[in-house]
Amino acid sequence: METIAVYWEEKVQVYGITQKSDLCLTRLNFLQEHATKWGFLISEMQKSAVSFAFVSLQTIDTNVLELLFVYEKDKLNALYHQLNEWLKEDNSAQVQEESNIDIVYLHGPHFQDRFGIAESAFTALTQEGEIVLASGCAGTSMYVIIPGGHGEKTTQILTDTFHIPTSG
Amino acid sequence: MIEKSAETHRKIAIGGIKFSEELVHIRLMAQKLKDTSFSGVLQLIAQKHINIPFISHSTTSDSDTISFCINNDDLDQVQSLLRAATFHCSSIQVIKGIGTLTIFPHKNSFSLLGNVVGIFGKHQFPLYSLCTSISAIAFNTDYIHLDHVAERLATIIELPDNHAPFRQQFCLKQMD
Repeated sequence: METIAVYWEEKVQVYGITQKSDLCLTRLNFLQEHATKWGFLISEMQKSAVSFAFVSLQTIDTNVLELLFVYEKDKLNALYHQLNEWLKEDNSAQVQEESNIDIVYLHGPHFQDRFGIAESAFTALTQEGEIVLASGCAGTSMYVIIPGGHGEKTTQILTDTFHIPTSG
Repeated sequence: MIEKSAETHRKIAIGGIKFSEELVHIRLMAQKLKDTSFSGVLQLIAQKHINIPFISHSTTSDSDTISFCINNDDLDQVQSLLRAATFHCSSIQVIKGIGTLTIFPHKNSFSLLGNVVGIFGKHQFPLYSLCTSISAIAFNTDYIHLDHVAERLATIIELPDNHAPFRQQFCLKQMD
């Protein structure tokens, strides 16, 4: 049975835009064949009372995974020390830290089923000269990671691009 | 994260798992694309009214990498667009027959993330990309492996009783 629904909006609606500052970004590269070991070590980070604000992963070379995670800056020293200890056991892995980043994220209705949503956001950011360090769209969410201090401007650009209903 | 005791180990309680339909995974890499290239890729695809249900993008001082998923039916159009694009990619990788396995909620937990990545490693399931949303983590692997991954995940996670089918009963498509 085919069901057709009609959903129309003049300007793409989002359910609010959230900005967080005082965050850092870690890029951890490791071989896919070492995913078992690194999976265990990543799970151990929980013991340092660290929780992530955003995570993404891509293959960046044959058999090399790049895991990005964003978390609170006050956890940087503890985590950086821990990661460097683990790196001593895996010469093929690499870690890189960016200690001052902001994150802006939003979500909206059926974003995963509709074309042009991400394009609207990133075209607007590019036109305003914003540098996006990383980004991710999954489900109904969109995350933008930008250098520290750029969160407010990014939020303003996205606020101008999308429609945020003022009442439920 | 709530953890429950199991006979031999502690399982992580989650709300659920769902599978996508079969998709195509595309990765573009360049030795530093121009700042406009990422949005340029998205513009080209949006102009053809093609949906992108998943994106993971990262920029470093010397390289850009963009991974995204599209529906199978859109592959020919997207490949034509990329061939005609003015920006230069050092690598375009197209993987057909992938699927997204989404686990929710993630509760911002490195324990859940690490344990799931470990399962992919231990059983040699390919992991092409992943990304978190506000409440879930989406993992891209081979479509034919989705059921096998879920079986292996059952050793570390606990699903609620009466869980809905992993595969969606319907799909949505935006029309012109």
